Amino acid sequence: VVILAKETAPGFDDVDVLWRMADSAAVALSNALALETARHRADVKRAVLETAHDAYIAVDGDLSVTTWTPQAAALFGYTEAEALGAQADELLIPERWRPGYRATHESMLAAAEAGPLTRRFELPAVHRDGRRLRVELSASPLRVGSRWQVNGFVRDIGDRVARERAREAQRAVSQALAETPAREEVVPRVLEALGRALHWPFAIHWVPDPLARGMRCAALWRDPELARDDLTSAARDAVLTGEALPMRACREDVPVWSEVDGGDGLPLAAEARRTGLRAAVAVPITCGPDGFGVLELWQRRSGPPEPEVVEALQAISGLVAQVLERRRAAADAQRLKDEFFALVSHELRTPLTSIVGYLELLIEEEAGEISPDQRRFLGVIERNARRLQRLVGDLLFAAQVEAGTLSLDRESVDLEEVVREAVATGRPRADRAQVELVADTGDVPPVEGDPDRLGQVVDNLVSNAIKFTPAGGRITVRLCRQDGRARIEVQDTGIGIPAAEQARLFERFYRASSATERSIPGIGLGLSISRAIAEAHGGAIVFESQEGSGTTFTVELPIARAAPQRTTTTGRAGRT
Amino acid sequence: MSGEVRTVLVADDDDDILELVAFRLERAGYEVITARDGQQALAAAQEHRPDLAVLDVMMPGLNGYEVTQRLRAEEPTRDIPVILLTARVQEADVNRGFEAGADDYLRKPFSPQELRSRVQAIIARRSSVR
Repeated sequence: VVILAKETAPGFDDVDVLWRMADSAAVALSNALALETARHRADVKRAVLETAHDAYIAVDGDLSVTTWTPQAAALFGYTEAEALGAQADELLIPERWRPGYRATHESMLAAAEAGPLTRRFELPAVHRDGRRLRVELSASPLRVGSRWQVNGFVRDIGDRVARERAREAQRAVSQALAETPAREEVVPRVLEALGRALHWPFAIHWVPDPLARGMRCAALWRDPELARDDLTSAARDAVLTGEALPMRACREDVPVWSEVDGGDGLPLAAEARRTGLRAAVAVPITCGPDGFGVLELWQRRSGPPEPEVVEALQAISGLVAQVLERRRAAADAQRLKDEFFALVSHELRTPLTSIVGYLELLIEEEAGEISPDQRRFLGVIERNARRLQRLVGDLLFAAQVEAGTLSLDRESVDLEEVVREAVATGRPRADRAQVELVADTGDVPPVEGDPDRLGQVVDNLVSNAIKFTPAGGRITVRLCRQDGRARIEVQDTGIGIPAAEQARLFERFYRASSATERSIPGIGLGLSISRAIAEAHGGAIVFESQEGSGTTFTVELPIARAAPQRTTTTGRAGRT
Repeated sequence: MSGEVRTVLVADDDDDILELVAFRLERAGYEVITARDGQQALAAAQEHRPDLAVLDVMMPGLNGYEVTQRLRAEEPTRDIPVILLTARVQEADVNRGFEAGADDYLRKPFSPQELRSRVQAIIARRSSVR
């Protein structure tokens, strides 16, 4: 700004001239200055806008493009000349989103009447070549005189969205795999998880069909909004051969994609096209005739899937392959185990039944008299056959416990009788081992349980005690009542259990080192079975052992609730 | 109960077991008819109308459950008591046997005394009903 002092004017006319000259100079100068500033600002602005990462686009109130930077050209494919004056919505927004876009524009202008504002949107856009884009737009309307100028900064967030979706897809699939128990549920759940996470409305699992030398649909998922039954039935009826996308994916063992043009003559492709599906990607799980097949996913937009998504799909198919492989192996193992136990059950038991049955005939002299030696030898055969029967029974029982199908025939059980029978059963073996075996039974009300199974527990404990007690030792089987529970104690003066082995004693097939060292027979099932039986009765089994001085096993069982105490007492008194 | 000889049908696809059971029952004073599979058992039951049938569960063709059901479905054989022999140990199998209409079951391996006493008990019960 130029400032002139009037006071120094020498004469009126000269001063007047001077004043006019000064005025025009000042205007010119200020104009020049203003122009210079404006140019500078525009240059600065242009420089800023053109070096910015984001595309800058300005439109007027009618959405006509007024500014279009090189970044905008790079992002959308239109030159400045093509873009300027064009309708931004028609140029850049997919048709089905245009009404919403215009409505948002209008409401933003209305809001901006009250004062400046900036809004941020994520929206779908279209590249000049038809490719769909995902962009983020920061828009701020500015009133310039009577006109609107809406400044927009636009950024391609396709990568970010793709990355997020890829992550979400992986997360959803991991969760589905973690939650799915049954093998046949795995792939359907994965299809749904993928479809929902990626916003792809249709997904098919194709499996090899060796007879057709092709593939057929094993499972599919359809977005509930995609209401096309024809599409579903076309997928279920389809038998893929030759150049079908999943076949190609399997042949090349990599994800492949294609536009859905309906031109390959498949009813499925034609239906998909009619439904508005534009592209499909096929991802192999594992190929080959025994493979787990291919996942095919369909989307509404045309063009290839983002690399991030393809990468995620590959990782996911690898994961699915692993899970299916593990499930298959587990199912095979389970089936083998079932077959094995069925074999044990039938093929071992049946001959044993014959062996023992005919032995009994001979021993009972149903087929004629036998000599004392013959009787003794037959006794050896019988004892060993019975041992084999017990082992087979134990194996089967362990299998039942494992399968959770252990069943008890419950009735009121007199434990004193159980103890007495176990002692009688063990007596011959105790005598042979020169071990004293005594029962010491107190007054205990009946328990509710399976008498055969409870007998098995006490038999096991007594038989173990005999095995691990050297000649001259003593085994006491005690029955008493303590803290409202029935207790059966089997106490021996045997070799004891080393402290280091005590924790593993109840494990299936675990055998104490002393047992293997001394070749004491057994397969390590007795205690695990005994514990399973005790626990099935709501009881427990524990032990105390001192190496070198003996072991005491204690079985605790709940006493039946409405126990007829008096009857039992009388009964016991009658027997003693 | 006079001195009348009772007839027992025994069916098992294992010849050794079949002979053993037959031998035991003959020694116990019964007349025994044998069958090696379900079809034979059904035919023998229809022809001879035994006082009792002892049927193995696991037989080729018709199994013990199915034979029991067929016996129950026809008037002439409806009342023949049935004891099932089973190698299985599952409670479900036992229930299935009773649902099919069996009167009793014996788990293999069974003792000869047990077989004899079950057979006697069932035949005695039937006789007293008659």
